[in-house]
Amino acid sequence: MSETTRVPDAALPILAARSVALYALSLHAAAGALMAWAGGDAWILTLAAVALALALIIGETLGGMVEGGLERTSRLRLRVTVTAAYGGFVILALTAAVGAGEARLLGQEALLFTVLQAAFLLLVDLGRTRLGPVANALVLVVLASLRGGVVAAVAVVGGLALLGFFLALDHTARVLQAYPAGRADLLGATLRRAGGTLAPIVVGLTILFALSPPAPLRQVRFPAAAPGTSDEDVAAAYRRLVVFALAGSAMIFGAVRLFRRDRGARSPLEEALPLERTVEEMLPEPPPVLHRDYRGRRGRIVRAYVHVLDRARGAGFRPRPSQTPRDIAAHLPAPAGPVGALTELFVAARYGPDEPSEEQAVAAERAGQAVAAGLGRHKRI
Amino acid sequence: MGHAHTAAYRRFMYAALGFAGMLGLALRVEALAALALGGFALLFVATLQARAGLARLAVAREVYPSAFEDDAVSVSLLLDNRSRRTCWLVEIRDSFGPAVADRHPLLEPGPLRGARRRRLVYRTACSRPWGVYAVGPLTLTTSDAFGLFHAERPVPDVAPFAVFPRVWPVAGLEKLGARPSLSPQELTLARPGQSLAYLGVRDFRPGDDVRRIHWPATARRGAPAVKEHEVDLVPYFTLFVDLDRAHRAGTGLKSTLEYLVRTSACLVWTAASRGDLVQVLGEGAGSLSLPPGAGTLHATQALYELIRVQQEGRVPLLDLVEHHRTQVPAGSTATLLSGTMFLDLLRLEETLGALQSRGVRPVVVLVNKDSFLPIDRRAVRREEAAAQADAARGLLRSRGVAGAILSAEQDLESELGRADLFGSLR
Repeated sequence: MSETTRVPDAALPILAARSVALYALSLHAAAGALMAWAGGDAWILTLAAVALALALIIGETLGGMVEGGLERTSRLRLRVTVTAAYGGFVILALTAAVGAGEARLLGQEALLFTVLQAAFLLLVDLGRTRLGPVANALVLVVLASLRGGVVAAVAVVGGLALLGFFLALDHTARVLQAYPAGRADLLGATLRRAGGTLAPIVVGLTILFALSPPAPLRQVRFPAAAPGTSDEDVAAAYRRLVVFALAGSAMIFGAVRLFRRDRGARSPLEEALPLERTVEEMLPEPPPVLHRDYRGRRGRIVRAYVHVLDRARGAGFRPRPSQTPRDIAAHLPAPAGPVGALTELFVAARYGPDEPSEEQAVAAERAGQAVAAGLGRHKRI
Repeated sequence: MGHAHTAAYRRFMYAALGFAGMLGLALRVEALAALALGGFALLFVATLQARAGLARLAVAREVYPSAFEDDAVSVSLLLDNRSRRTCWLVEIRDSFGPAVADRHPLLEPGPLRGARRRRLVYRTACSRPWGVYAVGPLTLTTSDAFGLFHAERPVPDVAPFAVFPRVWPVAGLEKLGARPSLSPQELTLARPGQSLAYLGVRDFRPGDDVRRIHWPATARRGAPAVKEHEVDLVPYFTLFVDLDRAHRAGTGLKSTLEYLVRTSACLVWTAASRGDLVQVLGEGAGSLSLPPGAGTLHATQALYELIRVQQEGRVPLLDLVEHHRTQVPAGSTATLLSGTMFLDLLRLEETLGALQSRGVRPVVVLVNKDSFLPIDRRAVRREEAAAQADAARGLLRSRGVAGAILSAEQDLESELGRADLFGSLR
């Protein structure tokens, strides 16, 4: 198994941006839950911002050492054990919080999951994905959304948007890491693509929450003496949050760009090669399609065959002019039975002396539909 | 797919959003229900994006269909974006049979704008030994912006690729057979041509080269006269290859088939390089019959025929020569490449005599199959093999025939490169 020891040039800013997105998601989710259930004091938010930033920097720069010390089977065993334990704990915590309906318990849980978030960020480089911090952030968003009001609305909308940006950057980084270093300025494009896709969803949710502000969980009992959080307090807390997020993001971006090392690996059966890319050129205009007027049953069979060929071209199949219909059938990426039947019917109808029967025309149309359905079927991975 | 793709986030989102949605509905918490709704909307849009990204993409390969062993090969891929959208992060996987790696994943990071084409070139090497390999199919993969869904489409672009054995110049061949063209030589025919052998003088005809005007004759006659020259006899090289299944021995790089094919390739390439007309004849699983021809293209065709031969024939070499003797013109060189030393020496003497009587210069190359690992029959004893080698050498020496014996312990490259290869038996 080959090991790349050099960070690909194009992937470096993406890796740093991914860390920033993960930090922003973590901080946003933790701050939302803390503001919802633990008062959202300035010192708590400051502590959370600093702790999460430090944990992520340490995790991104030194996390590989932990992974390097573990064998594949040990990593798998550890992952399964941690996933099962964490899943059980989340269900237990949420059930207890909802069942008890105690605001104080929910506050303690928000604090606990914030600490867990820092722990997940510390181990961020352990394993192939960053599912741990993402899952924990979503739990924090769920906790915040139980509070209702502005805090819940911001937690849900912001959480979803940041999750989208993180996934987009993570995907681009993973793809770039799997290939040899090359020039590609993808940071802006990735953010634009993600932003373009997320915008309608975010705007929709915002309008929904503006029209119908989310209500808190009805079962929750707040202490009678607890002071209510005013809108000014919430606004001030979010202002602080933005400052913390910007400072932490800048720190993480710089640290990851400086210290991050790639640990990509590929199957020994595959050899990723560098590509030479030429400048893009305009595609030649396709020749005009001449639609001949096929009449009668002969025409129906020919039309069915021509339709299949059009679909095959659309799926990337390129028949050569020298290929006979039977040659084409042998190479067509479709079920052999219907292809063979359609080809034989086409050859008889196109070149044979006899007018085909109604049954043959129907059979050709059915075979054509079956072949067209089998062509260009995308495989989801 | 590879390390780049994971379904973990997608599965997690299905599970987590489903759980949040159910929790939101059960507890009547609108924010939770909205979170699930937004998340599923994101998944839905991502699905559509992944499918749409692949719909109007096409890729085709351009590669010269043959190369020699260890040669570097450039493969061009034409990526067409027939949609109106810009494409990003298009992954292409190609299979290049002659390379060691089974698959070559390649990345076009983008942007590739709509209605545009980009040529992508990757370089690989023919690391596997000679033979015919498959190149392709190609596979196109795209993803949505979040990498949640990946769409993959195979493109059935499979083509054969011929890897020829590496050829070394056979230095000994330079001393044999016809000499290079356009040099004064005896091997000419008395009819008008372009050789340097002088034939006579005739009247100038329109179209004649003015450089050929014979000025003294022109002055004598008072009318232009030109020199006529004889035509060259083109150097002619015939190779008879022994593909008798009885002479199979050894495996891999140390096998009689390997030695026969490599030696044939080197002889053919050397002869073709110096301008000979080359023909190859053999009887393996099928008939190997390459008609006479000259030039690099013809030599390439000869190599293509040679890499497809199988040592499955049942026609002995001497029968093959006898059968095709009439196709060997006078004044040419005929090489008999045998897979064994144990030829019937009496018949070999007759065959050589018959060739020599027609003015053909015979060359005999014997591959000592008993020096290779035996496969389906026992190797003869070493003393017996040595006696046969001595007898063969004696015969060739007595008839003044150039020849060589190749064994498994010899390095074929250095052996064929020896200047005294065919003189060693004399």
